[in-house]
Amino acid sequence: MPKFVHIFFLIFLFTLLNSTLIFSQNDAGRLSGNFQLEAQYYNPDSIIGAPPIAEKVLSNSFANIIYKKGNFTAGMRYESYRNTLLGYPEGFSNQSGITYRFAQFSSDQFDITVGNFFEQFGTGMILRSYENRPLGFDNALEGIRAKFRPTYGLEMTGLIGKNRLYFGLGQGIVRGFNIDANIGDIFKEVLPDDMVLKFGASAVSKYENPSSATLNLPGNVLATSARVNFIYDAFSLESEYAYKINDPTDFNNSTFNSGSGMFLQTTYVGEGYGVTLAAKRIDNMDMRSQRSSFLFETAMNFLPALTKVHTRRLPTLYPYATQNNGEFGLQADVFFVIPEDFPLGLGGLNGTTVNVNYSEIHGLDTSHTSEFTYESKFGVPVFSSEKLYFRDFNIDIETYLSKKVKINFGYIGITYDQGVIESPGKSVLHAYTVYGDLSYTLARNNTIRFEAQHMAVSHEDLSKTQPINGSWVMGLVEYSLAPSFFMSLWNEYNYGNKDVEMRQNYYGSQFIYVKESNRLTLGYSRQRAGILCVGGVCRFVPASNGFSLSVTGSF
Amino acid sequence: MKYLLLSLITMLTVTACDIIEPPYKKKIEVTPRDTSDTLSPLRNVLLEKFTGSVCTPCPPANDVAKEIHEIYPLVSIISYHAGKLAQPEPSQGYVYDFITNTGIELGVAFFKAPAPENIITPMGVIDRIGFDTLSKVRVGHKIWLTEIPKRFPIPSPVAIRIYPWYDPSTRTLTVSGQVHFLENGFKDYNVTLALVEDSIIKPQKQPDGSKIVDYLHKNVFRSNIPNNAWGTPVSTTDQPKGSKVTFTRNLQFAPDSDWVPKNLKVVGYVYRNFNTPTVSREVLQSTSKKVSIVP
Repeated sequence: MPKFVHIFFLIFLFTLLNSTLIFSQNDAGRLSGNFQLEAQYYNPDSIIGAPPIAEKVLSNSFANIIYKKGNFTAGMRYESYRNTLLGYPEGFSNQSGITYRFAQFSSDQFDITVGNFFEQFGTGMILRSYENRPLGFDNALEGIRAKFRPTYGLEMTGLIGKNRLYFGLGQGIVRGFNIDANIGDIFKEVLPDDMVLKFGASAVSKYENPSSATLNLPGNVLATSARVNFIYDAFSLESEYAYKINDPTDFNNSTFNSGSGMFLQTTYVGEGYGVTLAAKRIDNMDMRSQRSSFLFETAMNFLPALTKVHTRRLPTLYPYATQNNGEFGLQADVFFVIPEDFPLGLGGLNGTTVNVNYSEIHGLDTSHTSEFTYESKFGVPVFSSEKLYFRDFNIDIETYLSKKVKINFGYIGITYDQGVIESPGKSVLHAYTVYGDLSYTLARNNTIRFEAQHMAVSHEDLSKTQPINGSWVMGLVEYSLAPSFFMSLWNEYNYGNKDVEMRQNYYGSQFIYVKESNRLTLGYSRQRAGILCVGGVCRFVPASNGFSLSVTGSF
Repeated sequence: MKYLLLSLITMLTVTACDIIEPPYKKKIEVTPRDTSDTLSPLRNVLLEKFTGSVCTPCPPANDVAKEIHEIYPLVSIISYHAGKLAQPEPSQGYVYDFITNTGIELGVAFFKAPAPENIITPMGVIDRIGFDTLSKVRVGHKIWLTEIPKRFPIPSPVAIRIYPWYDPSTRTLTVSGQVHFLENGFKDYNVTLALVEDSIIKPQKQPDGSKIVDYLHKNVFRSNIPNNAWGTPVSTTDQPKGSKVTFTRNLQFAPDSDWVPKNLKVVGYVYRNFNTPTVSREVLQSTSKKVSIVP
């Protein structure tokens, strides 16, 4: 970013602060913000592969400052990576500066933003700019965005910009248009009160210099989508179809095929139960505003993983990463409550909540028709192991045994094609986890929780897999004195590792202090290497050993 | 105004669409370069690529390097084995260790890797352009063929000649050479001589995870001459246009060395070793020459 932009924003901020102080008596607007510091001290630990870190201490930090007065909002975010925490994308390393700044005017009918902004069209299949700090993901757009609402229930959005690429911008220019119409709001009395019908359509085009020594690349790549959302009483249906013209890149192996995406989800929520069924099909829908990007750099869209996000520690070793080049997925999620008066005491004290979830993801059946094109069949043999990338059946049960005792236990069975999801050449593995935790309320706001997990892992082809981590067991104790103090201790033991030297304990502890909107976290952990995924977007997390400090606050 | 803005964006968006019909591949026409005059400022380009025996995406990158050599024979290529995917995996039959300390040191520096394991493969560095700008120094193999020709039109301020020969009786490699200054030059120019070996047949993991046991490894970096990652200064003083600096360097082969002399060549290159006013390691000129063997 040019220096003059920094100077301009510093002057702007200084002026704002001064004006706030001077005119605070005259409704000079509202200044708010938040900050976060994440730092870690690293010890080398050669057994688990934690490398020596020359700086010893690495840190990521940022602060947002937002000024709002009436219809006008302006803000900026300062970020600093000195040097970036281990595992974060290296492009952030040893950099700091203002990475996000914007000015926005917003009224009932009109909304215009200049500078940086986040935006999503529909489910995000052709455009979504967002940030996820734990992942190190931020593809904010920089440019101009206008929204117009000619009548209640109708909104049109147009934007032009470039995606953020660390402390700079991607090469491609992104242009987009979106329209959302809520029929019930536009045409009063047309629909019953308990019915909602929404239509939406989007078009996104990126331009990138099509220079290539070997291929005739498209300069302008257009993607379009259309969607319908319908809600009637307790039933809802969400659907979207997206299409993209040819866009050969490193990520899709330079195919000149067009891309398509379909998403369908239906939900019914009754008294004490709910059912969600979802399906999606993606074929060549990786979209980036810069062809030469790496990992998730300059991603233009978001293709959600149709799998449950597990929060238990051991199954997070094998999360599903969306395969943007092609996949077919199904998911069913059912929850119900066993009433408290159910026989055999199965309803617990206040009813027992049961959540059953099943998902499976298959690769598409494709065959090459030329060096640069392929055919893909629409359907896949579901409920089979053919090109099965991922399958997850899990059940979670939670109930109160008494006013003081709550239990939560369950089972997670995962089939995971490590060769597809992580790196080619590895084999399919099966991970079966059982877990249970018990919370005991010692006194008002004073709770202790115990948790145990066991994950049995088997590999289909041992000759293809290195390292063979095998099975794990884990225990955790957590004590909370709400609302200010939390403390936890845990240990994961990789007792099933094929390499005897790698049968290691991965232990840790954490102390959290919360005061109003500020939070201080101190911790120590010996962390195994693994994959961190949020919504199907993943990055590798290397092994580490050391103390960590986290401070967050807002004003 | 608001209608105009939205209409404009809509129009720009929906009309901006370039559907490509076959043929998808361009016909590459290479203009022959006159290389008869070795003191010509015509630039030869250096591609330093990082690879590994168990790196599944690396064979396609090696194919691109091979294509580059066929189209532009004057491009010098050095292939460093470094990073996690270059480490031998004896249990899977990848026993041979190609890794060198120089490869690791350069990889860590180019990619700002926190540790040798974090060196990315496959990845390339073209003439070390943008050394201090992380987003530019690394170049994915899919665009090597696009980026390399962009360097050709830029005249080089130096020319380099090298003459490598190997004496089997003493197991010593000697390289003599000259750096010619076609423009005023600086003392902060370094010259590096890299010994690379072709035609090494060792296993290589393929994109589908399978193993080719008799894979042909080309341009494999063995050592610098002398064994120093960053080379040595061309001169201790600034040099005027038209001057020439000569040099001679030796490398004694280790007794247990399995390098095959007839498959060896030396890549020589001169680069800016500037730290002020800006950091630069840009390669100014490069050349490669097969090693002659003393009868």
